[in-house]
Parts: sequence; structure tokens; C-alpha cells
Amino acid sequence: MKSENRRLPRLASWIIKNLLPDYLGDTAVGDYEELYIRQVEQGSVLIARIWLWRQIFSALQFSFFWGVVMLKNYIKVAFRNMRRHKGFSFINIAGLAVGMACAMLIFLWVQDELSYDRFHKDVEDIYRVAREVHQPGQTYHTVYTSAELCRVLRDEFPEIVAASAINGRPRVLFKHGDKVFYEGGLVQVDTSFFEILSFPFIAGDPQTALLDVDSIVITENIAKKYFGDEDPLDKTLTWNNWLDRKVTGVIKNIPANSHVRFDMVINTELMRNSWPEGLQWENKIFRTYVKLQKGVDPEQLGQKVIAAIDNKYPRHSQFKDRIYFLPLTQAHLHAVGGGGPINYVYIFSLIALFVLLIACINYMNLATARSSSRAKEVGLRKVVGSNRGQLTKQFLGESLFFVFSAYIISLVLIKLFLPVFNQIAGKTLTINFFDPRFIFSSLAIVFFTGVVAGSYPALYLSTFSAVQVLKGHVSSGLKGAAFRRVLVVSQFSLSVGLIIGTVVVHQQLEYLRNKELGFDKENIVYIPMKENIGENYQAIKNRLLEDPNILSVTAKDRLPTRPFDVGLIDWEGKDVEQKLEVEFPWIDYGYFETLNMEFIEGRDFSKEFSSDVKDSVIVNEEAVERMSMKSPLGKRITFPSGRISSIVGVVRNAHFRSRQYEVVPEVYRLIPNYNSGELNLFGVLFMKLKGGNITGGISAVENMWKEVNPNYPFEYHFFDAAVDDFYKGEMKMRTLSDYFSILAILISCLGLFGLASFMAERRTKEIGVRKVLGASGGNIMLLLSGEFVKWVVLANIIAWPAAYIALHTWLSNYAYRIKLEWWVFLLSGMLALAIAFFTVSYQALKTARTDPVEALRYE
Amino acid sequence: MKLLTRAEELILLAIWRLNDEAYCVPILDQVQEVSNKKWTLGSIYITLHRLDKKNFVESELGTPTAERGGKSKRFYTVTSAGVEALRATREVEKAMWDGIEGIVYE
Repeated sequence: MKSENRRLPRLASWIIKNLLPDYLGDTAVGDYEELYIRQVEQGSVLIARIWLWRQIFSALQFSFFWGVVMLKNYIKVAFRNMRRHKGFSFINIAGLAVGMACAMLIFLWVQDELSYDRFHKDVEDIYRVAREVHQPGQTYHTVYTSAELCRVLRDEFPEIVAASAINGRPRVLFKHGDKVFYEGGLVQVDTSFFEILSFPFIAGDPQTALLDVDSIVITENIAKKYFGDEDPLDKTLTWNNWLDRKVTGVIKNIPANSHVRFDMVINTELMRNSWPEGLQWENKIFRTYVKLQKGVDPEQLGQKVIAAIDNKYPRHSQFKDRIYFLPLTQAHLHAVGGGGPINYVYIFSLIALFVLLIACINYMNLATARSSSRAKEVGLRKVVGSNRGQLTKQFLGESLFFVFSAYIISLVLIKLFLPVFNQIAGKTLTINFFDPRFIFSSLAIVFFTGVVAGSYPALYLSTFSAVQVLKGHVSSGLKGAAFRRVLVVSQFSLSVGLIIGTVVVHQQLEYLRNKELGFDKENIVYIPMKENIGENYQAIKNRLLEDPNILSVTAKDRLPTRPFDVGLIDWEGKDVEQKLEVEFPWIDYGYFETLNMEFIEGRDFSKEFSSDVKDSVIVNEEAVERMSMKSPLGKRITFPSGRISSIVGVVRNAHFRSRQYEVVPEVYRLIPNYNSGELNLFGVLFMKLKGGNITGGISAVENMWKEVNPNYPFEYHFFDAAVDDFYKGEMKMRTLSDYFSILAILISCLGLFGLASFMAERRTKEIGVRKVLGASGGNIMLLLSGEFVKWVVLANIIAWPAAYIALHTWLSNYAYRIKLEWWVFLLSGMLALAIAFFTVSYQALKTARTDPVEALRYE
Repeated sequence: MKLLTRAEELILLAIWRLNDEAYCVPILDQVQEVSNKKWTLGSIYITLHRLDKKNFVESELGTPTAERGGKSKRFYTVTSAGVEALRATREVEKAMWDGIEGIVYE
């Protein structure tokens, strides 16, 4: 027999030792072991194990029997304490409840954030394709790739099981019978899309759904919208009034925790007819998803891909991209190239921890502060024979009892505030109180809080010596007070840190929002260049300009907030070998004027110069800087197509996209042909309207539209809404972190208030004597408040450097950021000080104004 | 005096019979054998604990032996109060059985 079978399993002997009364401890382990070995010798180890655990399970009853007697007493005492000190109990429980509710809400949020995209089958084999782009003066990361790259990956690498490029389409008009709607959530993908991302099908076959060029897969919601209760399969949806698409599949609505979002899916293939260039190497407008074979190392595959493409496709290799693979599970939280919402997960988890810690510190503070009144109880318990271990257990149990009461209240709070939280966070979180995962994790929080909050009081109170205490030498003195000071200081350090953090985050986001955009977004309306607009562009433009409410009309090949086609350019007088990757927006005359973009040098495109159409370009500041041009005007730029144009103007950088990222170099050209497929797909018409009469301007546009595109319902959009969209996410996070910081500060004030009132109560006699001897109310207030103020000042000194380091790190994620200014720190410190002062002085004032006779008579 | 429960009675008698060897394992064996039923060690501990509180048994730690990996045994002996309780219980039983014994064992 193996020697290990001659002993009890370690866990079993640990349970026996710890759950049975001490006097049985070792002998009981021996008894069990003897019987266990006998069982092992008789038969199999397995049977012996089963026997053993059944034995232990039934023996547990005994330990409960043993504990219940004392437990009843502990609960009784805890209850009495709670009732006798209603104020303290309220502060403790309210603080803990709010803290726990915060922590649990944040926990729910974090759990939801971490659950993104994990519902796909074989999610660990799914990757996104990303590029690290090396440019003169800059390196950046992006997930936008070309459809051609996706094709090469799929066809030439056996390690890649499936690959699909996905690209959002501009709004399209769909019609079925009398139901006509614009749909914005349309994407085009490759046939193998659903092999990679396994969105569940309700009807249709994921394998074949997208094989036909004119097929379309829709979500449940869309199916309901167009077909009601009818079976949508094989029904047709008319696309932009000219093509019938057959519904070949219906998928469940995209879950909230998917980072890929769409309502309708079509095959990319059709783009070969309307805009074939869109599928070439140069047009990096697709995101590519691949499924790798099990066990393939994405790192190695990436290197192989780069080498293979460099050899075979020189047209691509000129871009000098490093292609690599990013796990799908990181798509939501990690921005490509670092940073991203994962920071919020960290920040919020930190806030949750802080809030919980502050609530724990309140409990510890108040419990130790009250130690003198509990000392007699401890003394008496010791006299009648309880040992230190039992007392520790009692006080730990008491704090668990408090925490558990707080937990029940926090559940109610969560239930009440979850809808509000959802609204702020833009989530649809639900809570199922009976979900074992929730029960387990929330009980873990209860246990953590209970043990942390109870640990110091338990260890501290249980050290009292019975003789000393009962003789009246209550050493509630130095040790406890010093420790409380440490606690208050650390609590306020956390609060000050949170205030500073909140202010700086505000400043940064406000800065980003108001940072000179470099363009005007107000009163600008845009409409898509749909159908007949391109064809009749000049006539429409002239007609619209006749209306007094429309100040200017211009066009662009794409909304500036969307990513563009990029290409490599050469330029005159360059001193680096490399080419520069730039965006090539196509624009109409008057574009810069409409958006009020400022020229640094040179001039706008003008009809006076007939050569502008073919031979002139306007570049932005960033492009000039990257090409390191000294005097850009008149310099020549060579396009990938071979066209050579000279620079006639330089415009100031405009921040069309999130200012977390830097501005991209741009080279503007005049639109040569308004009736191209590309313009029809993506082009937009911009109009600057007169501020006083927006509706008048819009109705003029509407009239035009109805005439030109009678088959399409009129649509228009405000440009500022498109720009502000980039900050929606950040704004949500900001509001949330504001609320949580305020709560944290409130909780710590609650604790401070409790502590101050306790101190005042303990010093009633002293204050009485002082007043009798002539101290004024002011003196007393100063006496009581001064002490706390001292600690808060110390807390500031600790919090400042810590906050500085943390915020400095956070800010370095932003390309455009504020400087950390000293006054923010000072102001936050002053604020904390003021809050502490007012909290304490309320109590101090109350005490200072009491009649000394009352105070001295209190015994 | 309170009467003993059946478990208490059985265990007290087992301790008495086992004499010098009365620690938990043989006690368990003994009561299992006599009652022809499975007992758990835990139930033995509970009963012993109750008997101990009523001062019907005394216990002492044996010297540790290599046999149980150095873990000592706790030996129990019946106190005079325990003997008294056994006798009282037995008497009550006897009184109740008096006169019907013959019919039951017919």
C-alpha cells in the first residue's frame, strides 16, 4: 500500500482539527485516521475516501452544536450594541451598505466588460488582423486593412481556417411592400463570416446563407420590422430601389456584449461591380477577422505572413506594415496599440476597492474608538474563562454580522439604483440575486469586508488584560489613538486622491472637447450624395445657394469623421527613403470655407485657376510636418497613380476624430467627377445654414431632395452630432466616476463625523471644565477641529505624489493632453480640508455650545 | 436523576466493558457490533461530550504511540456517578418490564 494512503488527506485532518472542540483536536484526527486506514486495507481507497467524507460531514453537526451556544450569545451582544448605539450603528451600516453597493455595481459592470465577445464558438482561435504602420516620424497601429489582404490570408495560409473582411456601409434604403426604412446597421462581409463569428441563426444555414451575391442575412429585430410575424426566409428586400435581395438567414439580435455590431449582412462581392478599387491593397477600410487552426502561434504566423507578402506582393510591401494578430477577446477592452477601455476597468476596480476600504476604515475607527466602552465586557469575558481566540472570533463575528446587515441593505440599494446606473453607463445590466455566481462573489465581498473591517478591532480588543480593565485602567489611550490617526490619514489620502483624479479627468476631457477643433461644426448639415444627386450636383448646388438660409454648399467623398482611403506619396526634396502614408480626401470648392478651416499658407482651390482641378493639392499642417518641408508652397507631390500635383495651400490641423489620437496627414484634391460609384456610396453634401433659421434651410434641402430623389425618404444629419459621438463613451465613464468619487468622499465624511462625535462625547467632561475655567465656544471648536485638520493636512501630503504619478500615467495615453497643474492639487486638498472641517465642526459646535453644568453633571 | 438516553447507555456500557482499552475507535466498534447498526464517529463524540458534561465519564490522554503516527488516544472511564446513572436507568427499565417479560419473549 502506498504510504500516502496511510494518512488522512490533508484537508480532512485540517477540518477535523479546526471544527471539533480543541480538546479533541489531535486525538480525533488519530481516531479518524485509524478507521480510515482500516477501510483502506479492506477495500479501495475510493470507498475509504467516501466513507471519510460522510463521517466528517456528519461530525460537522457536532461542531455546530458546540458553537451555537456561544454564537447565540455573540449575536445577542452584537444586537444590544447595535441598539444601544444607534448613531454609530447607523453610520457603520450605512457606510458599509453604500460602499458595498458601489463595489457590487462596479463588479457587475466589470464582469460585463470582461464578458465581451466570449460567446463565440472557439473564441480563443479567433483573431483580428492589425497593422503596425511605420511612417516617417510616426508609428501607429490600426485594425483597418484591405480586402485584398484578407483574400491573401484566406487563400495562401493553411494555418488560417477562415478569414473575413467586414466593412460598414452607409445608410441604405430598404423596402418590402409598404415598409420603407433607411438602415444604418448594414455591413458587408465575406462568405465565411459566420464560420468565424458564430452569431446564432434562427432560420437559414450559416454555411450557405451568404453564398449568393444578392442574399442578405438580417437580425430578429429587422425581420420583425419588415415582415411582422411572417416567415422572412426567401422574402425580398428591395435595396435602394434597384436591387432585390433575398433573405437567406435570420440571426438572433446581436448581444449587447459583442463589439461587432450590425443589423444586416451582405456579401462584399457585389462591390466588385460598383467600386472595384475599394477591394485593392490601397483601400484599407475593412476590418479583418480570422480563425486559426488550433495550436497555431499567432506571433509566428504573423512573421510568416509578413515575409510571404513582402516576397509575393511588392505592391503591398511598399506600405512597410507589420501585420499581426490580436485575440478577439481583447477587441472590446484593448485599443489597438495599447490603452483603451481596459483603463476604465482598472480605474473603476480601484475606485470600488477604495470605496470599500474607506467604509472598512470607518468601521475600524469607530470600533476601536469605542473600545473603552467595550473593555469591561472583554474583561468580564476573560474572567469567566474565554480565551483570546474566542474574543477574536467574537469581534470578527460581530463585524461580519454588521457587514451582513449592510449587505442586505446594499442589495436593496442595488435593486433601486441599477436602472439609474444602467442609464448612466449605457448598459443593460441585470442582476439575478439567485445566480450562484452572484451569490458567491457578493458573499466573497461580504467576507472580505467583514474580515478587513473586523480584523483590527478583533485583534486590538482581545489583547486587553482582564485585571487592568476591571481595575479601571482602560488603555484606550495611545495605541488605539495612534492607529486611528493612521486610519483617518489613509482614508483621507484616498479621498483626496479621488478628488484630484476626478478634477483632472474632468479637465482633460473638457480640454479634448473644447480643444480648438480646427473647424466649425455648428449649423452644418450634411446629406448623402445618393442616387441622382451626384449626377446633377452642380445644378443642385446652384439651386440650394439661391435660398437665403443656405450660406454655402460643398461636397466631400466621405464624412471626415470616417476613416479614409490611404496611399503612399512621394514628394519633392525629401531626404528620407520612405514614402508617406496619407489620406486623400476628395472635396469640392468651398469646403474649407464651409467648415471654416484656417489657411496657414497659400490659398484655397479656386475656379479662377483652371489647373486646380488636375494639378493642385492642399495639404494639412501634419502632412507638411511629416514631410519635413520648409516651404511647402509649389512643392510637387507624386501620387500612387502617377499623378503629380503641386501644393497650393496648407490648412491648419482639424480634429475630426477622437482627439485621443493624433491628426493624420491629409492631401486634399478636387473631385473630378461627381457621378462616380464611390461618391454615390460614401459621398456627402455639406451645407452651412443660417444660424437663425435652421428649419428654413432644411426645408429648402428637403424640397430639392424630393424633386431629385423622389424614391428616397429625405434624410439629413447635423455634423456636430457626428463629431460629438466620439466622446459619448468617455462622457459616460466620466459621469460614472464622478458619482463614485462623490460617494467615496461622502462615506469618509460619514466616518469622520462619527469619529468626531465620539471624541466630543468622550471629552464632555474636559470641555465642561474648560468652559467653566473660561474657554470660549471658539476655543472649544478649535480644540476639537484642530486635531482632525492636522490629520487631513498630512493626508494631503501623502496623496499628492501618489495622485501625480497615477494621473501622469493616465494622461500619457492621450496624444493631446493637459499639463498637471499644482493648483488642482492644492484645491483638492483645500476641498477635503473644508469638508473635514465642516463635518467635524458641526459636532464641535454642538459640544461647544452645551451648558457646562450639563456637561459636568453627566455622570 | 435524569435517565440516560439509549446512546448514552450503550456507550457507557461499552466503556465499562472495554475497561483499559476504551478510546473512541473500539467504543465505536463495540456499539456497532452490539446494535448491528452503522454509527458515525461524530455521534460518538457528541454523546461522550454530553456524558462528560454530566460527569458520568472521565477522560485522559494516552501516551502517543507510533501506531497512530504520533497522535495520542483519549481514554474514557466511567465515573461512580456514571455507574449510578446506569443503575438507575436499569432499575426503571426493570420496573417497567416487570410482569410483561414473559409475554414478550413467549
